[in-house]
This record gives sequence, structure tokens and C-alpha cells, in this order.
Amino acid sequence: MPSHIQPCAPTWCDRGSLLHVAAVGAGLILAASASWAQPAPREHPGRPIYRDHCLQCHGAEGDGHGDAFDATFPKPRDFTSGLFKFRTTDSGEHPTLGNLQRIIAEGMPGTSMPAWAQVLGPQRIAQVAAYVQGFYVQGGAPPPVERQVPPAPPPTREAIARGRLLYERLECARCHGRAGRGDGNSAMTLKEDWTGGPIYPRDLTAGWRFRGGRRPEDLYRTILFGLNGTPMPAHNEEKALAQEQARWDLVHYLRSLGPDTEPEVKSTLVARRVDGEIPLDPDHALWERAEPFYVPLAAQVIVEPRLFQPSVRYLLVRALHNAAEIGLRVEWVDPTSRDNEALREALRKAEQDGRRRPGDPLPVDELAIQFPLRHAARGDLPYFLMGRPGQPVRLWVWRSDAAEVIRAEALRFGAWRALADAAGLTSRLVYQDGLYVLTLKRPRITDAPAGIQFPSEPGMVPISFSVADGFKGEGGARRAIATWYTLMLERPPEARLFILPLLVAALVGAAEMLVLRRTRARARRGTPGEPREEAAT
Amino acid sequence: MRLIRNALVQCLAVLLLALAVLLAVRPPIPASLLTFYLAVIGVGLGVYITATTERMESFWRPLHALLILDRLRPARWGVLLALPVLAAGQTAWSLLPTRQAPATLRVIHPAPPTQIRFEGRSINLREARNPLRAAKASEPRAFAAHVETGRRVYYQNCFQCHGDNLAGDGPFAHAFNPRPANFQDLGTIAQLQESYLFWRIAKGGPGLPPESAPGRSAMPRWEGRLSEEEIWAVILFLYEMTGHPPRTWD
Repeated sequence: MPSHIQPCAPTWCDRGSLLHVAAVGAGLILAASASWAQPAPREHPGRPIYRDHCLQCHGAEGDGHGDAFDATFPKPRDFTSGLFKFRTTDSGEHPTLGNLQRIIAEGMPGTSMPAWAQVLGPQRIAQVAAYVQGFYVQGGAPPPVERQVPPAPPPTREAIARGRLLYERLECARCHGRAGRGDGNSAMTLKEDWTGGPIYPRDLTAGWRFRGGRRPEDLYRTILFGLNGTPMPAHNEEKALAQEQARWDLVHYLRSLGPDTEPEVKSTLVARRVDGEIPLDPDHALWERAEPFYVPLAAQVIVEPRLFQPSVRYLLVRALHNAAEIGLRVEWVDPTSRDNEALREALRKAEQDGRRRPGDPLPVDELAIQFPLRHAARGDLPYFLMGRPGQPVRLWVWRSDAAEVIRAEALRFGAWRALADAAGLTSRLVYQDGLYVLTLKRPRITDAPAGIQFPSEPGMVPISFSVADGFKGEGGARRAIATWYTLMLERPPEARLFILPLLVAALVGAAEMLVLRRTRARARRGTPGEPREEAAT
Repeated sequence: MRLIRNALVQCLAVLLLALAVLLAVRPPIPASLLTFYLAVIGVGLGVYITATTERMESFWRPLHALLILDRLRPARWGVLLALPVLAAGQTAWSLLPTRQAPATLRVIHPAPPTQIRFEGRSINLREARNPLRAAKASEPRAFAAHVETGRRVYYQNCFQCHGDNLAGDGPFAHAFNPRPANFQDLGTIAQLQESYLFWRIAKGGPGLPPESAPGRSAMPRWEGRLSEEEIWAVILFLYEMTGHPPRTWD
């Protein structure tokens, strides 16, 4: 028996707990489901680990009311409820000890639950998982039956096509939307069981943010056993998914909707040089020449009023330029828009519940692109939250209640004054299936010397972004923010790029010929000790 | 066996092996350093070759043969053609326009001001000590309470960026450049005095001098949101949790 296990207290010293001790000591995941009775909390080996690493969010009583309660969204799990999302057990059942261990070890991406594997190691994770179990398991309750998740078959084109049909047949789109961006018709009306508050369906196109994991086995588990406490039902009784193959087909289809690893964060947004006109059509083939630039967004927790959980978590930006113009194409996922059914249904429901009057204005979504108005060459940029007095920034603002992108002067974070002159800025917005795509372009150089210019030298302009999802109560200073990046105009190919390599090749070739001729001439004269030419030609 | 005894073969083998090892090292070695290492190895090989006349001859023999023997004609022209092409390629590669803006230099830990004004009161950063630290030796209970206060402040305000484990890897960390400070790292609070931390926390990114790029820092200004005691408490918590001792004046 490992030395850290305390002597048996009478309440928990039975057969189950002995098994439990063995499982905890060895960190065995499978054996864990057999161990169910709990040690008295005070002397539990997981207690000090919980106190040092978990209590600040989950609270001393395990009810999720730790110090960080107000600063986190989603809220820390209330362990006393016994409701856990990620389980390999039937719907409504408790998770296995192994299920808890996995979440502790790997964390939940996109939440404030980090991965503890590196910090705690398997043995201490097993101990603290057992301690957490003690918050909701009463003495003699039988352990839940663990369901097996078989290994995933490799994805094939056919499997993905079949999975797509299943997605339609099972009406996944009602919540998750046709393209999987969480913009289904009923998406904004769902409630979760802990607090009765709203819960939103997962955007299936950003696999790196799947809280229960992004592996095929994780999706299989969620589809089959559902997420306790949420509207995501279990499907293990579903006829269309009775066959093992059908389950994996659906998993492979979901995984085909987007990447499962987070794109790399870079600092330089390159505007590719093109010959043709910059297209405002977001589907124009020219935009495919520009590499998508990933901009992760953070909550604005710096100035009041603060925002802790932004709705929009990233932007994909593309940039192009030609001799005269610069163009940007920005896309972001927002499940609600002025004329999508998800918003209409949510507003209807709000009107029924009396939370909204029929004539109230529609929520407004916003995207602001920001440039420094004056900046010293070396690093001293205006404050990234829309500048400050004496260090102004220029904004290009799109609002869902306006037809065109406007130019504006920022007054403070989240507030601006529109400028009368458009300075040749034109734009176009397309919203479809939960995705906003905004394209805009402008002459690189304008008449207004005080404005933002995009000259070839030095060809670099700092750029930043902020986004608000009006339906989620964002707007003003409550918006998702990004740091400063550099928009860099790719240089047109220069003549020396072709001439210099040719010159170098010629020089090397000439040197070779010289060496070759001298060596051969010397060999013909016959220097002793060197191989003779066999038959000179 | 004869092949291995040839100095040219030996040199090529050593160079290839070295390159393979250097490329396999993680994290990757910067290109400039890689060139430097290979140059040092090249000089070493030069010394090795020129040490004896036999080795010199053994090194040159294959090259010489390549240039004059008729049965090696295809190989000869292959090499003679490949070298200019490689040189041209390398030149073109080095001339390709860069797609990375030059890194902005910023002073990470700038010199602090001698004194700051905190909520209308003047605090001398040279003399300021953490008033809560004194309790560590005399009143362990009170000290533990201060650390708990610091823990509460940290998890209510700081962990979103600086991380649950104080390693600068909170859920919002990667959206910012510069990244939030990693307190576990020996290069941050372990090198700083407590009064320095007080200044950084109270005045935040906007309080940085121009050489530290105040416009980029996402560190909020906590003056007005946290009390003086709360700031000292969270500083205490950072040092207690990481196990680093604060740097002192003496």
C-alpha cells in the first residue's frame, strides 16, 4: 500500500475502498470504476492538492464558488451537483474516475480550466480526482457502468459524405447550424441545468476549442453519451447510429468541418502583391492567393466596463494590394446576425418572456480595424485599446446597422467619432451560416496627409482589431480585443532578384572552367604521383 | 574500407553527420548560429586535412580524378553544372523579400522611477518594502492570511492572462504581444524587488517608459481597482506560490 494513504477510517474501510486505494496508487484508469466509496474528506491524500490548485475556482466546498467565480465564464463546475459533461457512462450517470482524471490532466480548451498533467503528474491527478468524486458520491452508491469507446477507423471521403447525411438526418443543424458554426435556428434559446442560464451550441469548425477534446474518440463519446446538464442529448439509443460505422461516419464528418489544431499566431500580416483589381467579392479567386492570418481575440478586462468571455474568439484576415489599392478580407464566426433565424427566434422568445419589447432596436454587431495615426518608427505605438489623448488611432468601423464601413477617430476605447469623408474606402459584407465576411479596400495613398497611408516604403503599418457581438450584450468597451500586428506590403519582384543569381552562376561557372583547364593541362604535362589521363580527347 | 580511409570521404561524412545532428536539435538552432557551427567544423576539417601530406593527397586525389579521368566525364559535368545552379539558388533565396516585420525591440524590465504617486500619496520605490512580509517570521497566522488575500486577488484579477499556475499561460495569454509575464520563470519576479512589482502592478502597461512600448502592453493599471494592501498581498502570493525569494537591496 502506498505510504501516502491514510489509515482506514471506519466509514470508508470496506472492500470497495481497498480496491480504490489500489487504483489510486497505481493511477489505473480502468480499475477506477470499480472503486466507489470515498474516504472521509479530511484525511484524503487529494485534499492538499485540491487546496493548492483547485479551490480558487471550484471553492472549498466543491460548489464552484471559489474566488474566481466572478471572473470566469463558463463558471467553474459545481462538483456537488454530480453533473459532468464528459463521461464514458450513460446519460445522467456520474463519470468514471478515469473521465475525471482525463479532464484534470488535459484541461478544457477555451475555458479557465488548464491542463494539469505537467504540473501534477498522474499519481496526484488520480488522488485529486478521487477527492473531487467525494463531493458528489454518497457512501454506498454503486459505481457507474463504464462504456467502451472503440478505436477510430481512419477517415475516408466516403465516410465523411455518409456522415454529412447523418448530420442532416439527425437534425444536428437545428442547434449547430448548417455549416456547424453553432448558428442553428434554436441555438440562442437553449438553457443549461446548473443555473438555468443560456448555453450555446459548440462551433464545430474550431476543433481546438472543443472542451471535451478533439480526438475522434472524444467526439464519439460526446455524440453517444451526450453532455449531462446541457441540451446535447445522448445518441446511444438512436437507430440511425446503431451501427458502429455510422457513429464514426458522423465523427469524421464533424472533424472535416474545420481544423483541429489552433492556427499559428504570427506577428506579420502580409498583403500579397497582385496585378488585378482588388475584389470586393469575398469568394473571388484572388483572395485565395492571400494566406489566412489568424488573430486570436481576448476578453477586454482592462478598462470598465469589462468583458470576461468574448463571443468571437478569433478572426481570419487576408490582405492584398496592387499598385494603387489595399484590400482586407476579414472573417469571423458569429452565430447571430440581423436577419438570421437564430436571432429572430431568440428575440421572439425574449419578447414572450417579457425581457424585450417588440419595438426595441436589434442588437448591433461591430468590427473595428485600427491603425495608429502618428507613431514613432521605434515601437512606441499608441495604446492598443484605441489609443489615448495625444496618441490617436484611426478606425475603420463596420456596424451591422450601417450599409458601409466608416472611417472614424477613436475618442477612447469603444467610442469614436465618424469622419465625414470616406477617403475612397469601400466595403462589402456577406453573412452566411454563422460567418461574417467583410471585404474592404481603399487607395493606398490618399490626399489627406494626416490620414493612414500605405506606401511601399517602409511598407509596414501597425494594425489591430476589435469585435463585438451585439446579441451577447457586447458593444462599446465590452468587446473582444487583439494586440498590435504589422500589416506588411509584399514588395513587387525586383530586377536584381533575377540578375544577381545569374551573375553568381556565371562567376562560379567561369571559376570552374579555369580550374578544369589548368588541372587538365597540368595532367597532360604529367606531374609525378598523380593519375594520368587515360585517353585525352 | 578503402573508401573510409579517404580524407575527402571522411570530411563529407563528418559534415553531413554534424548537419544532421545540428538540424535535429530542439528547439531549432537559428540559421546564423548553424552557419557559424558549420564554419568552425570546416576549419577543424581543414586543419585535419593539411596536417600531413598523405592526407592532403588523399583529399585531392578523388577531386583531381573527377576533373581529368574520361570515364568520370558524366559525373564531372554533373558536378560542374550543379555548383553554379546551387550558388544561383542560394543567392535568389537570400534576396527574396522578407515576409516578417523586423522584431520591435523593447526593454522588458525598464529602470523604475525613484518614486510614484499612488492614490495621491507619494511612494518611494527605493525605500518601499512589502509591509506584509514582516509577519512571515513574527506572526505566521497573519502572514498566511495575507497570502490568502493575495491568492483571492490573483484568481479574481490576474489568472486569465498569467495562468492558473502563474506560468504566463492563461486562456487569453496568446492573444497578446508581449505575452503576459511567466512568474515561474527565473527571468521575471525572481530578479525583481517587491517595490518594482508594486510599480508594475499599480501603473500597468500605460505606466511603462517609451522604450518599453507601453502601447503594446495589455497589463492593466490596477491603481483605483486594487488597494495598496491588496497589491502588496498579491505580490506576497506570487513569491510564496513560485518559491522564488524577492530580490532585496542588500
